[in-house]
Amino acid sequence: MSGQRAAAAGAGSFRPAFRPTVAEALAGLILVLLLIAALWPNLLAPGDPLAVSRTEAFQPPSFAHLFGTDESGRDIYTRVVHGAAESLRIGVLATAIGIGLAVVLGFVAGLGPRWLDFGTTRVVEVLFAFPGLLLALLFIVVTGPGVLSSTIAVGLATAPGYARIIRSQVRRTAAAEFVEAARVLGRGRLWIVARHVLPNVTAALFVLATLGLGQAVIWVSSLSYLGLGAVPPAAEWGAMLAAGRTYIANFWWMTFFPGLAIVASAAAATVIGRGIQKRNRSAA
Amino acid sequence: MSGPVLDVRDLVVAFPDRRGAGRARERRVVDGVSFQVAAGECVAIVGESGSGKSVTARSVVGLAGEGARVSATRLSVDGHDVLSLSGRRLRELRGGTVGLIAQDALVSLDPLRPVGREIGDTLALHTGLDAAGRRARTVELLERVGLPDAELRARQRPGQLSGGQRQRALIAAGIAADPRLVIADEPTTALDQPVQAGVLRLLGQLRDDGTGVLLISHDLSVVLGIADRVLVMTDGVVVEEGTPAEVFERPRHPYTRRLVAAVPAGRPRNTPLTPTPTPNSAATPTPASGAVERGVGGGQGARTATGPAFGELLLEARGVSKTFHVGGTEIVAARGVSFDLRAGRTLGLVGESGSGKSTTARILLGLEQPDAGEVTLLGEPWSPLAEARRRPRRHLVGAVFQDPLSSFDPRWTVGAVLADALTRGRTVRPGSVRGEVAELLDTVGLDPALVARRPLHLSGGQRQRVSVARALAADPRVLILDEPVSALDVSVQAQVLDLLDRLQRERDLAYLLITHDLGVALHMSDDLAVMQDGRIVGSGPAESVLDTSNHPYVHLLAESLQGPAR
Amino acid sequence: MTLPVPTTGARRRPAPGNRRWLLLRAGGVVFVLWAAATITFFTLRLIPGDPAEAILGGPGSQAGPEALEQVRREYGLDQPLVAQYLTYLRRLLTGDLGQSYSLHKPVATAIGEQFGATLTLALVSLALAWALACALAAWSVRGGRVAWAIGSGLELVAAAVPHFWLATVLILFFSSTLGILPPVSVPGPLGIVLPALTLAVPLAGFLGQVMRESLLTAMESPFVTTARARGESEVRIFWRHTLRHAAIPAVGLSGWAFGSLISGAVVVESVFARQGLGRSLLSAVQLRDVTLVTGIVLVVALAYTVMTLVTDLADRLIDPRTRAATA
Repeated sequence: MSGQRAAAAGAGSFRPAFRPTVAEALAGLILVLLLIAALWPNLLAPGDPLAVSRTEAFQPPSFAHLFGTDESGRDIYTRVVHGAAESLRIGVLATAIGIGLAVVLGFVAGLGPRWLDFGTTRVVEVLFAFPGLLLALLFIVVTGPGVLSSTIAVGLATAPGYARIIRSQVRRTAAAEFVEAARVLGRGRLWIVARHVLPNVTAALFVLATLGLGQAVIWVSSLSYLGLGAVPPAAEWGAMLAAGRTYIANFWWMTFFPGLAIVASAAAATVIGRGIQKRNRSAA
Repeated sequence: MSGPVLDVRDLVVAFPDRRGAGRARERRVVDGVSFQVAAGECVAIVGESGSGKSVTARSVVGLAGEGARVSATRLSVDGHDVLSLSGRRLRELRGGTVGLIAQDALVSLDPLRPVGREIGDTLALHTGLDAAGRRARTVELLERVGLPDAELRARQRPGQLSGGQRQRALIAAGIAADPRLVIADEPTTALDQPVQAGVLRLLGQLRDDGTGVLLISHDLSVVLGIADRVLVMTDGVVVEEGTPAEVFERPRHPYTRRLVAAVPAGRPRNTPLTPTPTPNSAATPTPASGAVERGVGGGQGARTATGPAFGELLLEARGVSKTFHVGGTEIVAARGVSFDLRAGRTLGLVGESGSGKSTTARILLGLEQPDAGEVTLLGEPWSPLAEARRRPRRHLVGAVFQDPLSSFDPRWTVGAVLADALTRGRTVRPGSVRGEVAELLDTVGLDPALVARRPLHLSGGQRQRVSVARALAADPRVLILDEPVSALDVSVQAQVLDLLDRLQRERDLAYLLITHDLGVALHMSDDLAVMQDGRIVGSGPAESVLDTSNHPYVHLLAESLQGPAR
Repeated sequence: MTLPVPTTGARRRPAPGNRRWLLLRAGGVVFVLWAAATITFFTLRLIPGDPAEAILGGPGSQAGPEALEQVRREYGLDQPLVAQYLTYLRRLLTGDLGQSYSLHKPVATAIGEQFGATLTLALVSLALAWALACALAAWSVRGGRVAWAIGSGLELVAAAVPHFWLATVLILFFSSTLGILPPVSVPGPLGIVLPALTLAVPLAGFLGQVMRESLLTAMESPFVTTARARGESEVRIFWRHTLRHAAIPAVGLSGWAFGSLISGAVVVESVFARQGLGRSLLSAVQLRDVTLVTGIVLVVALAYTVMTLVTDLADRLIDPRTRAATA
């Protein structure tokens, strides 16, 4: 019988599929490289990201300059590597703001009395009426462009999406039968939240944060590309994109490689986030 | 046309087994099955999950499953060799010569299309009728299967029909092209008992009209009233064959004997369903008496095998009513429900789904507040109290839920679940209460080594035992059992029921047993209450209530017990 | 915490009729739009400094005192807040979105001029994305592992590739290398190809994934077995049953997709120098033309909310199961 078979699967094998796929291994490698670039950029790119050289301006990719040079002759590869720290930090901050806000909204809506749920859901619904970047743009028009402003803007714009997911996860857990079983056993509301709801939602939160990091990096860099975020000569990837914008047709490498770094980061975060999600699902 | 409608000899169905080390191994789901079905005969194959009965049936139309390797000395329908058919000829066979009726019409019919279309498709594929002819024939078919308002129903989608109506529509789609053989694969699962009887009667009519019927079921009692011959399958082979009387009353194979013994229907109270006693029934009565005396208010010391006729009154419900307001509509889940739960006695609560049984259970457990009426626990008010005042007494009422998997936190091990229950929520680490956890597992007949496992990796029966252990940990006097065995195979079900029975005798517990399965209810209950539309429409001692009641619904239940008339 | 209504214990409740649902949802839309208008009202007042100055380009705009006075009178900035708010709402209802200082024309006019171009881009991209997604889903489900890998890869593209980078790559490939498409948007059908492709490809990746999953679920559903047992051919089953099921979630998502496309248009129109609301919005933000920004955002919110309502209604009509689900 199938039941017996499951029992025979063995006590130790409850993590059957932790072996990473090719994509996940690659993603892990990329993340490691990014971390090294962020913490010890000189290991990967010993040069100076701010070193200008008039004569070397607009050089295409070559052995001397792996990613080419920009309009001031700065080596793009060095700038990409040194820009990792700032870009990742911005991404993490935006994600933290977004998820932090979403956790508050989601838990309040998921655990609170019906009227609070109603109110919070309405708030989220209203924020949802502004699709994508528009909410961020609305914020920026109030505070003016800049790195901090664009970071907070992205956090605010991504929060409603996460809030909805968190709320539904919280509600689903709170309505689960094991919560009822706990109530029958006499556990108090606070105890149930701390011992049952939180641990079960945290796994989903982790996935959300990982996936969200990828999204945040993309959104923030998009804002920088539009000139509303970081500005050159900062080596932040988005700023490099903004600078290279006007030269797309002729000097494609100025936007291509910083963009590639962004894509790689976002893809790595997404693949790993999905991997965790898949394993969460099969374990639960 | 002479010869059997279906002739199967040495059928073997194998699936690739990825777990096989090295070379590609196979898993034989069906390993040498032979039988025949004649026109106007109903052959039933019974077995538990994993026995291969469904795969056998579906191989007849070449739908054994993805990657199946099917081979047989003979597999012919109405003289045609199925294995040599492919493409168009096979499609002509399907639906035209053989009709397949699957279980659970809610998912077996396309939810997006009106049921009339599904029937019309069969007609379009196998008959030469034009559109108008098809429409007429569809209505005819729906009427034949006993669906009133056939014209209206044909235009409705499966979601708009009730469970029984859907199943009848599915049957209509299966017989639309007048097949010589009808294969019904678990046609009565997910249906309430009176509705089941109706569907089976319908299949009996088909048989009487000359169609061959191959009936697959896990439920022995379902096939008893309708089958001409019964085959018992386990692990891919047929272990017994004969008329229903032969199989049920004089089983020869040990597996069949176990299976027949495990069926609760018709077995009197307190007779064990499993042949070997669980290892722990050797426990002396001394711990049990301690359990009784530990109870609040003291109990009577009687511990005879059948229990006293009137045990101590533990839980009392008087006039309990509850109405839900959902989306502007009102649903009355309970109307003036009253009953007693006494020590050492089981009250069975039966009724169709939606009759209010679960709501009643939740009110008793303090998960819902009744709108009217009162629940009293051991003489003191229970339902009117605020949660904080109730908490100290919560341990007196335990619960076992229907779905054992979802009633456990997926991140907790068995040890954590029991430690949490034992320490009243103080800790989930089994370390400090290791001894008591092992004792609990022993009481419910589980290996103490399971402490480190998560419920996900246990079998259904094991999970339910852990659920019982958790309920016992707080030393309750009353257990509310909400469909505790519905999700289990018959033999596993028997073990769990025997366990519950033994525990009740040892600890003098009061049970409220909620189930839709009449056989289980009648076997386990001392008293029986029948619910319909939130009301108790009949109640009394289990042996007599079905025969002595005046209520039409109770009559319906009593009738469905006897099975469809032959 | 409040417990949900137990669905096993209670009888299945009658689903709210379509009319009632529509009324409820329409009410919701009105509420959301009112709230959005309120947010945009306060957006102006949140800008640090004098609101009149903000309207004329933010702090440091160096507007003259007469211009400021005029603005104050026009927008009633001297009046109490409540009166301003009511005036604002009243003007919105009549379609008066204020005056754009940077464009020297009424915001409504400016929007009207640009709306068509962006709408065209969004709809063309949506259609293109749908076509790509359907093809991708169908192919990856029938075509074995290669198609599957491509489908997954494309879906990753959807999640990880920003529009501006994809645009860069497409321009590089089609314009600089192949030279068959213009790098900037020119009037005429050829000019819309690259911008639409940039928007459509990531969306197709996402929609394709959704459709692929629902296609798989549908193909393994019991009603497909019933259809096979009835003698239907695989081809027929695919077109009459599974495809319909697979398309349902994508239909529901189209509303959201529309909003995401408009948001993407901000970047894409900028990269391809294409006229439209997105580009106007961007320059408005750069110039801190508050009234223009809030006007455009409100109009987009209106279009998006209505579009979501339409797709939700379509979803409800197609799939009766959504009616029974709790709201």
